[in-house]
Parts: sequence; structure tokens; C-alpha cells
Amino acid sequence: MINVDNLTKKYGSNLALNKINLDLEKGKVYGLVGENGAGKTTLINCIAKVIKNYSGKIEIENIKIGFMPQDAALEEEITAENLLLFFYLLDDEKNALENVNKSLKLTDCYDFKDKKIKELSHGMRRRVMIAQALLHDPELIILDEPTSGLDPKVVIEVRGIIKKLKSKGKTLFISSHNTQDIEDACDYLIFIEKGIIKKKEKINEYRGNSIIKLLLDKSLSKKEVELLRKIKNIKDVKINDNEVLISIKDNNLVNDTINKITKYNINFVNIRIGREIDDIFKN
Amino acid sequence: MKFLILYKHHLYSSIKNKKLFFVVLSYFILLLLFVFISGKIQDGMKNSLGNKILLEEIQERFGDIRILIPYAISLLLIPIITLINNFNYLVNDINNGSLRYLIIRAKRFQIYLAMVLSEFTYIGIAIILSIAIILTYLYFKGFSFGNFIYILLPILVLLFYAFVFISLFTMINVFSKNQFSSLFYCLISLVLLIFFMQNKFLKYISAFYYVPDLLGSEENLQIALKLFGMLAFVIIFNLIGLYLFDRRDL
Repeated sequence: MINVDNLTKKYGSNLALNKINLDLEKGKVYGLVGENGAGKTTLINCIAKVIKNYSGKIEIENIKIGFMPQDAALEEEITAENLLLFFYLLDDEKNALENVNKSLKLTDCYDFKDKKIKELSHGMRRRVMIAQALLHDPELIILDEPTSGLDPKVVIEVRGIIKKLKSKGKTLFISSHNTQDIEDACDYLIFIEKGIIKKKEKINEYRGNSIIKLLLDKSLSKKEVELLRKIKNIKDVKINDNEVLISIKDNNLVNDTINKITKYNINFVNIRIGREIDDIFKN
Repeated sequence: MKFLILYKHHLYSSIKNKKLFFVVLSYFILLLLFVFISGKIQDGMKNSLGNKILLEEIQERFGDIRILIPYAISLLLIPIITLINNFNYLVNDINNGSLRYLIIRAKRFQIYLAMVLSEFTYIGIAIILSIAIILTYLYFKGFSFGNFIYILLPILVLLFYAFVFISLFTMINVFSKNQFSSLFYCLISLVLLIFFMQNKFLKYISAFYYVPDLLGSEENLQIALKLFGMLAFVIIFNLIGLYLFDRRDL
């Protein structure tokens, strides 16, 4: 569907994207994960043709694309419905109102469709921005930081919208610096750091259960760490403040390892099996 | 089709733009004021024999003073009006990202041309309406219109003239990083155009040079050539603007 070949983008002497190679398949949901300034928005803007001055090649099939830019201003003196009508009419005249309302309903914007954009909260605006990306039922939907700056309640609503789109079989390319916001919906995660794609993996592979995560109420003593390292099943131990990530040699040894940890009287508040996306990124 | 929708949308935005409305209204009021003042000057000059002869000479050479003064004032005001309105017209939309919603749906040249032409339409209508109202006022004051072309031509010239500056300032918007640099470049360009006009050779690249001396003694062919000169500036500025806009990161 989309093929990115050797994409490089510079801002002056700053290398924003460095020889990016990427293939996006139809019907999959891709999460582009990276810290602020990693190059996520630059990559998305190159694909969406906002950025033109780059080297390399981007090939996109002749498909409808929906694009929600990050923090781009919407016109203030127009109602949500009229704004979407304007965007819709740029592509098609048929059933404009019907399709706009469909998009408004899908993103839970229908109740405030008659309100002017200037009267809407940040979260409502963000939903209108997503609604405009969904007009025309696009095959590919690109969302740049759809949950950025939103309160937890609205983040949950946006996640719900993404899940709805996934269930409709859409191809989604979503960027986020907060992995938790998108992890439930993604098929693939693409990790980007300093303009370089570090990894592209299936989410299930990343969340494999060969990891035990211990949440502690106090830091482990040196003795406790040594005890953990002595357990035969354990491949590696990583300690981040009150969290301990334990890599196990074999998935079948999870229960046995937990038993041994308990036996050594290591006090933990909670235990999780399988890796969270944040853990992957930290490591 | 997309162009027309974009054009209508921008035109509607211009109509709702309070700043633009205020600027255009100020132009109209100033114009009306100068028509009134020029009428008073004319009446005053008629009262003394020496001045009456001078007035007749002016009228013979340049045309009616009540048209001459508003025309000259318009030539002065139009670059200022277009500067105030256009120095940040496009660069603001680029910087706040509002164009990003459009580029996935429309070609860049459609977006650019829709913006330039909608702006020209608004300013053009404002010029035509202002002059029409002034002419109506003069008609009731006993002004003799004579040949219709002498009314139509100043309007045509002012439209071309406004279009030159709208095109120039929009082009400057495209390569400016922000509205302050755009304002700076727009002002510099105005100064340069005035400076070039003073020079024997450089005057040919100044848009000001191509404003016909309509109320003087220029031949029709010269007037037509100068109008064509202004049109050439419009085309050149817009082609450069389009070229740069097509390659610019938004």
C-alpha cells in the first residue's frame, strides 16, 4: 500500500529522518512510537505530502487517504458540521450531509455539530480533526498524535474510535509518544529514534510472555538482586526504580520462576507476565 | 470543481474578515472624503479668475479634478491596503497548519490560485463599488461623464494595479518563514519598486512604472501596453509563487 525507500529529511544540519525504509500493508494498524523529536511527525508529513523537500522515495497506491495532522489549526468561525461539509465537498458532492453526519457519529461529534469550532474544547476539536480524516471512507488513515494533550477520559474515547476503525478493516498509521494510547489497537509497532527506525515488529511478538515484571513498593536490596540472578530460569534482570523486568529463558518456565521468586521472599506489590510496550521502548 | 469550492470558501472567509472589512471601509471613506474636498477645491478655484484659468488648464491636460484626485489617492492607498491585508495572508495559514487539511484533497496550485483570486475578487469588488458610489455622487453633483471609456479605464487600471500587489505580496508570503519576515520583505519590495522607478533602466522592472497616466495625454496604445505590462507582472509573480508553493514544506 505504501512503500518508503531510503527517506531522508534534513532541517538545516539536523537530520530529522535518516534513510527510512518502510512497507505498510493493507488492513493493518501500525503504531509509530517514539519520543518527542524522534521524527514521527516528519515521517507522517512526508507520507501525507505536507513535506516535499526530502530525498528518497515514497510510493503510495492510488487510494483514498485520510489525514489528521498534529495540532493544526481549524477554522474558528464555522460550525463543526459546516467545516466537515467543506472538506467533504472538496472530494465529492454526493450524499455530502449524510456522509458528514456518519463521520460525526463515528467520532462522537454529532451532539456538538452545530457548535462553532471556537466554542469547542481541545478534546472535541481533536475528535473533529479525526472526523475530517474519516470523511470519504478512506482506505488509509494517518493520525498524528491523536491523543496528545487530551485528558484521560477523552484518550479512552479516542482509543475507542481507533478500535472501531480497526474493526472496519481500515489501514491505520498512528503516531504517538505514549505507547499505552495505541497499543491495544496496533498490529505492528514501529519504533523510531533520532530519525532512524529501530524496529518494526508484530505486537504479539513484543508482548510475548517470556517477561515477568515485578512492581515493588521499595527498591530491591543487593542481596535480593543476587538471589534473582542466581535463579536458573532467568536470562536477564533489569531494574528501573521500583520495577524489575525479568527475562526468562523459556515461556514454559514462567510459573516455576514465579514460585522461586516467591520462595526467596522477594516482596512485590504486583506481578505482570508479558511485556508492556513502554518496557520495550525503555529497553 | 475543487478550485471553485476553495475559491468560494476563501472569498467567504474574506467577507467575514473584520480586519479586511475595516481596511476597505477606510479606503472608501477616504476616497469619498477626497472627492468632496476636490469638489470644494474646484468650486473655490472657479471663484477667482487666475485660478479658474489654471483649473481649466488642469482639466484640459489631466481631466476632471474630482476624478484625478481620487484616482491618485487610490494609486497611493491600494499598495497599502493590499500590504496590510496580504503580508500574512498565506504565511499564517502555512504556519498554523490549516493548509494541511487541504493538501490531502486538493492540488497545491488549486489552493494557491483560489487564495489569490478570491482575495483579488474581494478587493476588486471593493474598488468597483467604491468608484461606482463616488460616480453616483458626482452624477448628482452635475458631473459630466463624457466618454464612457474614461470612467471604465480608471477602474480597469486600479483592478490591474491591485492584482499586481496581491500577487506580489502572496508570492512573498510563500518564501517567508513567518508574518514578521513577510511584512519586512513586503515593505522592502515596495521601497525597491519606488526606487527602481526613479532609475532610467530599472524603471522597467518596477510595477509602478506601468501605471498609465490615464488622465494625462497618453495614447490608447501606450495605455494598452502598460496594462499588458501590469498583467505580465501578475503572471510572473503568480508563476513564481506557484513554483515556490509547490516545493515548500507546509
